[in-house]
Amino acid sequence: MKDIKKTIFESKAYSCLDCGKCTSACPVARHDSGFSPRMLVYDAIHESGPEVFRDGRLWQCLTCASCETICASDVRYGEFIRALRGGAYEQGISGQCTHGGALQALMHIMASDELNQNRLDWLTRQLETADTSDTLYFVGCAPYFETFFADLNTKSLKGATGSITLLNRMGIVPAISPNERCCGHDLLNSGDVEGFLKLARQNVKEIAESGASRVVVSCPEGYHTLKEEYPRYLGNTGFEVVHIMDLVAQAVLDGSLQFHAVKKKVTYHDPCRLGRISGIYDQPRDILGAIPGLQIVEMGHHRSSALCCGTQSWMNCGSVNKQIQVELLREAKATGADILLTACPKCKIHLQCAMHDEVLGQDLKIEIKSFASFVAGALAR
Amino acid sequence: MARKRKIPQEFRICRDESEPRIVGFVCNWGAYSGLEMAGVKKLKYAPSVQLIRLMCLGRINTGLVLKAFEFGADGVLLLGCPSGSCHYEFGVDRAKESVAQIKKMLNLLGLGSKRVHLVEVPLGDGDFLARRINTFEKRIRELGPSPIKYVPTQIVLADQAATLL
Repeated sequence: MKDIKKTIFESKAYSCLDCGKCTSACPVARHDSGFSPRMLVYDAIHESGPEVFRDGRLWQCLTCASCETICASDVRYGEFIRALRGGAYEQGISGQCTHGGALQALMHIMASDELNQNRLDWLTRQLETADTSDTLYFVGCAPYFETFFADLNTKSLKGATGSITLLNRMGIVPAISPNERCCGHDLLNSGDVEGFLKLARQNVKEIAESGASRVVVSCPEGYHTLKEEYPRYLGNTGFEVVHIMDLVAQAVLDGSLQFHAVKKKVTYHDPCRLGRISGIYDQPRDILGAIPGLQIVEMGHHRSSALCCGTQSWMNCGSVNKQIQVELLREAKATGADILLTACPKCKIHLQCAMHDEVLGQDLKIEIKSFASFVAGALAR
Repeated sequence: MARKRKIPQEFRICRDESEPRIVGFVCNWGAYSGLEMAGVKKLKYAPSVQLIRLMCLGRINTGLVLKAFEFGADGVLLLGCPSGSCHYEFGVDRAKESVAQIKKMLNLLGLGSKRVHLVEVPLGDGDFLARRINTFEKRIRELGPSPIKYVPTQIVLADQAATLL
């Protein structure tokens, strides 16, 4: 059994001052008075027994890091939650999976060695890719999302095609792994460390075999997992991980990427994994700022206080999560923007799902686009 | 909101690895009465098909079928009523929508769409059912074993699980 004391020590939960700032910042606590990040820490410290693992609140946390940014004692709450979930998972307890467990099954299936996927059918002739290259573009689960969420018309692959277009325009012809696996973020986040490690080892092997020294990622979760979690669990992975926004922002600064005028008003949503967890706030705003004619408006909650898209790791989605999504969409509507941009394919799915509300319907409807596809669409010819 | 995971024991029973593993989801009305009829007539059908009875084929979803593949199934057979004579009017139509999605997902995974098949069984037609089960089993035999090998990461025993919750 996972040592709770060790977890409390490592995640610095011992330094909790009991001030309650985390609860005030927590998007779940705002809509569910029964949930409190502080109480979870309190219970873990005072009970330290297996009953902590049986706490249903454990699975409600969105690991959005809103509490971490505000914490006076620098408690690493995400790490704390993940460790407790790991302990619970070892005992056979897990959260309620959504979508009939299809996504979880998909992740576990992808951990198989002999899998020979057929995931690159969406590549067109306009998108230049190479068999071997210094740079590998990590697509992520977008091909699966596009198919699985076809009824929501999420167009998850637009982010990937947009990213490749941007890379091509910067003179980079990336390699794409035909047998890339899920990055494992969601398994790690739901306590299945063993499942995560299987996927991580497969991916590291695939990338090493491709010979690429640099991996470009557009999915915020994939970026965080490849950059931070892989080295933490597997040691030196032998490749550099870059977010596409870093490259694009640099190219915009150099003047090597030019845009045509877009007379639109947009608002940008900071995904948790990209903003609060990876600290990428300025790059998307710099890139959008370079598009002539584009008006950028900020939502009430933006940058480090940005609202979470409401759901995590394909589990525990309920009324509270819906309320968070509604709150975010209302804020986006209130800015008067024509388009809501987000860099995360999952945020896009969750927000589009929330828009399918029959009662609130038009109240929440706003055009939502993937950041990379929007920027690629604005490239000068 | 915590939930207890259970790993189906049946999938972990040691068996002849050369035999295909097929999971069959059976509708309680049209298809199950067909199975009973096949039993009454003492018809033979492939023993490698493990049947799971549902109230309606509308119960299946992409997650449920993918889960069977995750646990090492080589094929999944869905036995339901003909469209239009579903006991719940629309169940089998929902199942057909799910199957379309499942096939696309299996294609992406490189397993191919042939490993899942929906059969509309006329009410109580045992001969038809036994024939179709055998055809599907033959098809899976030709396709060979699924590349997915289920390795249980942990085994939660039923009695141990009972003490936890």
